[in-house]
Amino acid sequence: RLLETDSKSLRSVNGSRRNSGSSLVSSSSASSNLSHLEEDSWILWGRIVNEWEDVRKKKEKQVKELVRKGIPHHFRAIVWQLLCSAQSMPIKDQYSELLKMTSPCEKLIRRDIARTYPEHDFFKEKDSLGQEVLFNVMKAYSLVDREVGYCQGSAFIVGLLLMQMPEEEAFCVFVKLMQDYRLRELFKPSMAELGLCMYQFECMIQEHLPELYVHFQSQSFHTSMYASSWFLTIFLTTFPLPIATRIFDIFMSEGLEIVFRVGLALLQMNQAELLQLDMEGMLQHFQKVIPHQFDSGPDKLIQASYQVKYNAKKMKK
Amino acid sequence: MGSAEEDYNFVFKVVLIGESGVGKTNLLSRFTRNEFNHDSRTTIGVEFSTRTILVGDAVVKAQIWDTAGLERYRAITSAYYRGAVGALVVFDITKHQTYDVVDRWLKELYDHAEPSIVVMLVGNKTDLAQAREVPMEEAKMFADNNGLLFVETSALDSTNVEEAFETILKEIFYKVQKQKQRSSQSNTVSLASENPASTAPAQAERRPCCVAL
Repeated sequence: RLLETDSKSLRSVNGSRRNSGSSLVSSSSASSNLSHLEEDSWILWGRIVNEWEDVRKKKEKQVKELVRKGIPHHFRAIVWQLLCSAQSMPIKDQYSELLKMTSPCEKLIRRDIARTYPEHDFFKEKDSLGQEVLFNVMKAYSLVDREVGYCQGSAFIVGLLLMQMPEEEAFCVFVKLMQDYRLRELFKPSMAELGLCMYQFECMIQEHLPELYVHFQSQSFHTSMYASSWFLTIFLTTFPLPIATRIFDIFMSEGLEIVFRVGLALLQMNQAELLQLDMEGMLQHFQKVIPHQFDSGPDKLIQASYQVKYNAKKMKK
Repeated sequence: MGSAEEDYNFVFKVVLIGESGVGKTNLLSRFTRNEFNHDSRTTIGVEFSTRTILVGDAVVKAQIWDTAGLERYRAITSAYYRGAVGALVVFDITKHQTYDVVDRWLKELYDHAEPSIVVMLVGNKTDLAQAREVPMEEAKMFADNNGLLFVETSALDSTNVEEAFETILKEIFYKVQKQKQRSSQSNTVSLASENPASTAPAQAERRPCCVAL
């Protein structure tokens, strides 16, 4: 019951402050002190983490909603692991052994290490700790999944995990994401799943944004020209990290559906401009304008993406 | 759609292909923006840039598609070969392996592109000459034997980048012109307006013409 009150009150803080309920958050909001809010959200997330098994079973919906508002930075590592059930995986004990082995993908992986988050402090220096652990996790994974081995794009996901947690834990979370979040299918050598995602996304455009769909068709503007990287890196190569990390929070809790949702919300919000542009103009718009449209914060985008009607049944067909 | 700089006679679609890490993205940014980025990011899928240059009297817009080099991405990237009139097959002169697979890239290209596509073999990273693994003569001979244009470049210090793109665009342009001449010989009713190069480039309301060889 505590959680319920808290999640409600947190909502009232993030949204309007009209409701001055009886909860502790709204009382502190009167002083509109940000650090208090932070503190309260820490208390709340602390409880969630401590009572995870119970909370997950009984308050699934509330947790989802809280995640959509963003997981506090200090809780990300633990919450992401809880969300994908990556704790106490037996494979974790193999990790150090895997690092002693040689992978056929090492050369390929090496080539991309310096080209993954090249501007991020943790990864930018040659032979830095960041580059080393990124290489380690990619290599370890390529050894436990010989079919996928290494695929470009996945290093951005692992890199994000490594910004939050130690390498063994990042490795476990990545294994989970590959197995349970459709990522393995996306990165398989045939990449057939990516083709399927493109097709499904196209169907959504046709249904929800028919005018834009016709425009794309008339300009021979294919979905894969702009959306491949959305799916392969969960927007990590599209938006600046603060924005992309918030989307990734939701990905951890709800899966690939969020990519479809955010993708369609983006098209919706940009529809008027896109309709005025030819193929080249649209490509430029996707490469240059859209990445910085939400620099002031992703809340508007995330809200819009939850207004998108997503038909899970239809997608399964 | 359409501004002063958008007045052109031809649009040539050119693809950049070759192994991962040979410098395709930096070749493109050097040519289209005169930029080189030491911290270049892995290309996921395809990226795209354009630049308009003068070839003879004609204004030619190069529409250049930069593709991911990793093998499994070819299923996606090969879709972009369609309609391309030019291709730069890039390798890294300091990594022999990236040259060894040029054959496979060519096969991939000819499987999906028009047979008349103009292809240039590009040995990139001449600024790292002390680490060279592919002798220039060897690559040049390979190019000659396979009917490819050839150049060595450095996207880092700009050597030959401009020349590489200019050469291939000129070659495409002449090929188009020749083809036009041939078709106008065999077809006497061809209209003057079908020959964009004969019209002044700055003429207003000219519709760009996309050329497939």
